[in-house]
Amino acid sequence: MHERSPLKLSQARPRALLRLLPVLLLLGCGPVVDPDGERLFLSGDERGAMEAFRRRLEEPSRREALDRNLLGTAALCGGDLATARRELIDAGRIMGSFPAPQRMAMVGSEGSKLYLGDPYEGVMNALYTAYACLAEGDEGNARAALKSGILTDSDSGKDEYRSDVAGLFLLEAWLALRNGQSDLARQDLEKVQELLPDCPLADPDRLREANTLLLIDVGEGPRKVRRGRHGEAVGFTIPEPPARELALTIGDRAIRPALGVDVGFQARTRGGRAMDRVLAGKATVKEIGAEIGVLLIEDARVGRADAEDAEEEERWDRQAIVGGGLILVASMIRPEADTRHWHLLPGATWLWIGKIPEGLHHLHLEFRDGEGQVLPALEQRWHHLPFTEGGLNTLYLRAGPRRGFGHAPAPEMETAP
Amino acid sequence: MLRANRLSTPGTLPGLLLLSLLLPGLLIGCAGGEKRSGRVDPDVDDALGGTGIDSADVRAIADKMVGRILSTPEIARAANAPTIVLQPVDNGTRFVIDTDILLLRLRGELGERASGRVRFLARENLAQIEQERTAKRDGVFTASSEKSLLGADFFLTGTLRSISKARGGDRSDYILYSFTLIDAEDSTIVWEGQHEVKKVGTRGTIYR
Repeated sequence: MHERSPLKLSQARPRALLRLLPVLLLLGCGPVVDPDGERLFLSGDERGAMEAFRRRLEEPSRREALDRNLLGTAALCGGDLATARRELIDAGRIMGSFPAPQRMAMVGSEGSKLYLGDPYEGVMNALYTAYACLAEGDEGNARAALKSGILTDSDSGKDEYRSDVAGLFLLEAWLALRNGQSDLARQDLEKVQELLPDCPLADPDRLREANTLLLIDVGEGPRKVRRGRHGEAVGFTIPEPPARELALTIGDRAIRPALGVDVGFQARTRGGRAMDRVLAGKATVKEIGAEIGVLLIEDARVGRADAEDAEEEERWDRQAIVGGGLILVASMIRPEADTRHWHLLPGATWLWIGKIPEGLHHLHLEFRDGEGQVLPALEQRWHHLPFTEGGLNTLYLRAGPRRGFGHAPAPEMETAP
Repeated sequence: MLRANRLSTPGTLPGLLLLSLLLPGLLIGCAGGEKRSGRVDPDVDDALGGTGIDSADVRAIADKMVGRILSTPEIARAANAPTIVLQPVDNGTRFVIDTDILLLRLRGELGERASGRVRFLARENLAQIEQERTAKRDGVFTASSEKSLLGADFFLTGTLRSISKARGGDRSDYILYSFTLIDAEDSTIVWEGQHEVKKVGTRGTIYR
């Protein structure tokens, strides 16, 4: 009879490790998202949502830019333009930074890296920043934000999907005209005509006269989801837009907004990332590592049963430990893709730039589905909105997923029953 | 005796053992804590990086421009300290910044180095100044003496222009800072100074 040391693997039973394998492999989940802010935002409590997002910002985190974008969105919808401007600018600054490489994000979870957002999120940050700056009378920084957004979009996806956000070019053209930069405006309007061939807004004479910017967000934005056996790939679920067309009247004048940003399309066409290949590699290593670990343990179990002396048993035990170690290592490899995203974005942003005569006007916003049927749940009526002739009027409206809300100079709103 | 399904002979796996010991350590050990805040030298680039306008640029510009403004004949040889009004800087870059910071830094540096050879007019406070003057003249507040509001001898203003490029998450930004001192009487540009910076930023694989 062979002598055995008290801590032999045979006593721990290699099969126990096999039983633990699924548990080990399941260790570590995706990032936990506090749903409070989103829930409050969707229930119409923008102030409550802002507080929830502010609370998140009290602690340093690697998702600061995301939380600032969320706070900026809630502030924009709640009419707190100073907060919106500040938070969106700060978020944009982080999103445009070049952080030091984080080894943890390479070997551990991708979600542990600093959130910088996808190009489509950068575009929306730029658009909202430009709007908030304009509404605050800061045209210089509105122009800067638009340039930044255009540059971000020029670096996304495949060639055909680069620089394809008409809204950024249209807004830049308008502001360029206001700043006496007619060459830049001409180039921008050529781009708008290429992207939106029948857009009546791309007319320099009309833009020169314009005193009003109207931004209308519609529907729910894209959501990032994990795909693949280990969640190593990123996919998008893009909610069907509730409306295909919108009809807008201000006073007795019917106006036709242009589709400024199709957010879902921008997300879908973002193109592949270098990190996608790294994650695919990590998923493969995780799988193979676990399989080799199991094989080593099983091999050791069989070998140990046939061992002729204590020394040989110990050697098999050591192999089992190595197998266990490999399983442990495999369980610690985190190939899950980072799915943090700006989940309060709309599905689409429409915009209109034009001239509204001075005075108080009623606004009626109506949405239609693909068959031209009016969607009464999304209808909005605003009364006594003040417009100035020489100044710059800005209005932000949002429709869906719940009923409309938005910022306007005199928010006196009525929705359809 | 046959040993079925054997992957290896026992005791031949020191490399794997080492790996199994080192890799978890690497995985766990790399989980560094969040960066703490602290005071840093404003002339040194910070860890966040970026290709935009930084504190070092603002300081370098102020240092460079002030020396040149003070050596401009219209300032250096003026019989009385000329009055200067700061005018907004036109930002034509892609960077959202508070352009006032450039002029404020210039004004501060000029104030320190000019030793009274130039004076600045607070036009941005004109409304409050007029309100105060009216109240003094109406006897609401006391007044030691009455003075006329001064006119500007020069306007100091600036323009920022840039060329920006992007590829695969990398960025390159060339920024030209141009400042001018304009004679407020005859519109002559009496001085123009420029400063240029080009920065490139590269993102690691995890950010691409």
